[in-house]
Amino acid sequence: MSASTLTSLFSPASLTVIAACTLYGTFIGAMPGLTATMAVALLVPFTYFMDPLIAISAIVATTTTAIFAGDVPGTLMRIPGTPASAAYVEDAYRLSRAGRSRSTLMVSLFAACIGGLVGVALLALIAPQLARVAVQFSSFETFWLACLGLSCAVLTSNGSVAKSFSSLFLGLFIATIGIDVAVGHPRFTFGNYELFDGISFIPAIIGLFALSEILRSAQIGHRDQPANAVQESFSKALHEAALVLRRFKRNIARSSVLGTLIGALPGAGADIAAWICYAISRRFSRHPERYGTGYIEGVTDGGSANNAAIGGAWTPALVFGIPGDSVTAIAIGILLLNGMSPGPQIFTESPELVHTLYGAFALSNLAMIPAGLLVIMASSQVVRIPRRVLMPCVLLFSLVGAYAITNSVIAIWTVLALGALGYAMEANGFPLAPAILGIVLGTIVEENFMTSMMKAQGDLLAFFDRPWAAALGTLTLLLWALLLTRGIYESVQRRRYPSPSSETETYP
Amino acid sequence: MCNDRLSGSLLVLFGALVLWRASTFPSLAGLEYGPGLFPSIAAIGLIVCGALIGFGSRGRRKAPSTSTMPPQQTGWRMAARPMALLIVILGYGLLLDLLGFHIASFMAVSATALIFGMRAGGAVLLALPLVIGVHLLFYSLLRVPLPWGLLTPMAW
Amino acid sequence: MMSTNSTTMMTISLALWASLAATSASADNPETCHWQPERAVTFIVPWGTGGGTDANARRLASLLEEEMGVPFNVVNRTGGNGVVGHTSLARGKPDGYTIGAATVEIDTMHWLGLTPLTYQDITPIALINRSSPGVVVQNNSPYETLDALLDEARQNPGELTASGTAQGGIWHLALAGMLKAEGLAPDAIRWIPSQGAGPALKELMAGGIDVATPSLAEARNLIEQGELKALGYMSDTPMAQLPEVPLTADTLESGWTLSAFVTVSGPDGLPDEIACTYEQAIETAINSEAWAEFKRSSGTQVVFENRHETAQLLAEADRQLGEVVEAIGLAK
Repeated sequence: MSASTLTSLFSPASLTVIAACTLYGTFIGAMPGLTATMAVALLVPFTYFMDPLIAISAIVATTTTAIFAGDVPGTLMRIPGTPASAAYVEDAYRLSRAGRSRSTLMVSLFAACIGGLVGVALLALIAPQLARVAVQFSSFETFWLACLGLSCAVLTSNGSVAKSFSSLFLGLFIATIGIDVAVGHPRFTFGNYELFDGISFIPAIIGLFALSEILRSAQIGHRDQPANAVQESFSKALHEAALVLRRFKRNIARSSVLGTLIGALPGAGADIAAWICYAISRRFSRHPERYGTGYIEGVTDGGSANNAAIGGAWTPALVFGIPGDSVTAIAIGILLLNGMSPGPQIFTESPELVHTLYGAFALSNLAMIPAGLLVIMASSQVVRIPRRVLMPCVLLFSLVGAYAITNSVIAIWTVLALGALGYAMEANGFPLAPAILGIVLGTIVEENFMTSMMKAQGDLLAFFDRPWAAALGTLTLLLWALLLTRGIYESVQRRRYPSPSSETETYP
Repeated sequence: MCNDRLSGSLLVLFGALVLWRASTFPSLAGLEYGPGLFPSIAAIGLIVCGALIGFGSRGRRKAPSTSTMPPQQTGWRMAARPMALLIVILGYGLLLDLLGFHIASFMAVSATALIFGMRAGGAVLLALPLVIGVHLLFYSLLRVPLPWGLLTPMAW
Repeated sequence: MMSTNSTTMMTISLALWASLAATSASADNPETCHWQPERAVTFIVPWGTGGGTDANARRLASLLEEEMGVPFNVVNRTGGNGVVGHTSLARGKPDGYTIGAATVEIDTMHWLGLTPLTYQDITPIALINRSSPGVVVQNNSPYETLDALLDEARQNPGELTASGTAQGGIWHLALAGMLKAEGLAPDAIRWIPSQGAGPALKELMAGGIDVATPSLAEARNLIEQGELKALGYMSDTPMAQLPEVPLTADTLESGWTLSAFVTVSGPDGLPDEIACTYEQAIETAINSEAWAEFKRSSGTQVVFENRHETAQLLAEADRQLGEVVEAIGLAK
């Protein structure tokens, strides 16, 4: 890391932003129902006005801490703060009921910190190597990569295949709104010139994630669950946590590496990583029967895996400009807004950006420890902030934040429409993540398909002409075959056993 | 809450509409497809998935909830609150330029607080500092030109 | 601003240097130019942050802020190849609190059928920037000169591909116009649309296309790194940082040149008093050392034209770009 990166990373502005975002991420993550993606979406209007390097640090710090802090309401109230904490919420909650909430949270805090550091170390190792290959990627290869990302989004989502696909296709449709790339024909704009550039991405994200959450919260009403009482003393909890971490250090190492690799798949994010690592941990544990009954081993695995995945998710984002999860999808949007296009050339053209990213990761994983300890000590108060105070604030920030991006009321309409859509989708069991990736990747897929076809003058075989394109294309087609088989299997199963329990909620 | 028959049918209908619109788009010179290709793919996907969801499983299966929230309460009062919120946002969008950011936001925040069960006094106490705070943050610090509307004479 | 005829180009260029030399070119009665804004002014930019137009607008806005004592908030209204930003600029309230950067696209997008909006729907205030495209290829490309490239396109029309911006974007018109001026079919080098100079240059380096025609300033870094080489610069004055790049005005028979420009304009019907106040303020800003320093660092020349010259330029460029759009069959 160069000296200039260090000075920019440790400049007062950058340190203030990282500290503020660490606290902000901890707070949002600790609020039940406010997810890490939403934390980032609400942050975007601010990053828009920051230096891109500081903006990236802000996003990194927010996600890192929000993913950890999601464990707080999960442990205390059995409501995972973010979906990434859902895998081990049962264990953590039961431990907390047994009076061990502080030590459990400290275990997940330190596991998260280690996972995050491993994640960024692997990112720094792998990404530049991949970038060397990716420099030779033209629109053919990019097309296949984006297709791969779309397929992963469906493969790894928690809903049924048909609903995940519907969500994806809705996202793809939204991506086609606006002037098309090939001939400049306005599509689905109904003469409104503000739609020529398509649905603005940030207001769309804010609508899908923030407004839908407010709506759902309004429906539930102001019934607040009681939090578990805190019983352990600080020093006793810390001692307890240290013992657990030493006992399960191999679990943490395994899940950190594995979590990073899963996160690096385009389309898979922290929640998938946590689910898979929890499942693997159970399979290899000496006490698989104790999982789900208040056993700490799974918490160490899931807790380190989901934070490791955050680092991993930046690999495809930086190297190919293809988001690894919804957070990096937002980050790519911010880079584009700042006139930087993610891709292999970013490693040679803006090395300071890449280095700042690594540095910000390391720094915020460390800054997370004091912030995390603080929130652990104050946790029972934080989770009790009434929603009737919180939600109006979130609503105003959502609306003004979206307005700040487009400077026109069209942003409000986007938030309104997509918020209602997101609310209806979640209420009916449609996962949201494929829709977001559809919106982001849809544009990339279409653009690269159209320009490829214009280059090849309509010859579809050109998609397999170049060696990398052929390899990626074959991989994508194999994945589609797999998805198709799973879809058929699922519908056969359903016909045979029409039970209400769902076999499609994978990674149990 | 979870009505597969209805959501499936809506998807099919929507897909058909998109497909119809997309068929009117021009095609690329020398190629058989153009701007209509991707909307059509999305539309066909929606129709197929919608049919599978709505009519494939006879709507017996409950989909897993991906929500991180506890199970939802029912009752018309509960369903009315999200509707009321949507109306508040609709009004906010319609009146923002006319009334200006401050008045519109004050009204929207107060209304939202009321919907979430706060008393009128509390709602005003929440809305006033919040609007001033957002003004300082976005208008003064971030320099977003928020509309002044009715308050234009007072603008600075 | 473009010309298929080098003499027109020369005339306009001469007018430009003349106006630069004069300390105050404003023809209006200076006593009436005393409008003073009392609150923040919104400065609309139709293109994204990080691009050339945005950089110029932001630097100018910060200078105007010092000069006029009120904040100038730069707002990027991107999309629709410039339609969104230009439309919101043209439809703004002509009270002086909304101005913006209108770019060369105001003279192309109505020919392309994207919008009914023309240069007559805005009130020009001043011209603040010009940039010309370069013809760049990969460093190991077999073509050493622009002539060699054009010969290949003449013999095998449609074999070569090029990119640099969207379909019908200004750099597309630059390439197609050059081909036409040299007596080739405008699509003898096929245009592959892209999201802008960055993606187009990436595509060029990956071997996906053969030629790119972004503004030479945008390709400068990669040329200096030895990844790309420039075969020509569509201008009649060499770029200060890359003086060795051959000028099309000298090497091509047609003497083809083209420059994209950035103006500061107001909404339709902006009162004279306000327009000439801004004109004077901008002229002072452009003549400042801070602006000269900014221009040096970005590798472009300092230019300024007053509102009457800018209005003429807009009308002239509109007619000429219309001919190019018509000739390459993109008119609607």
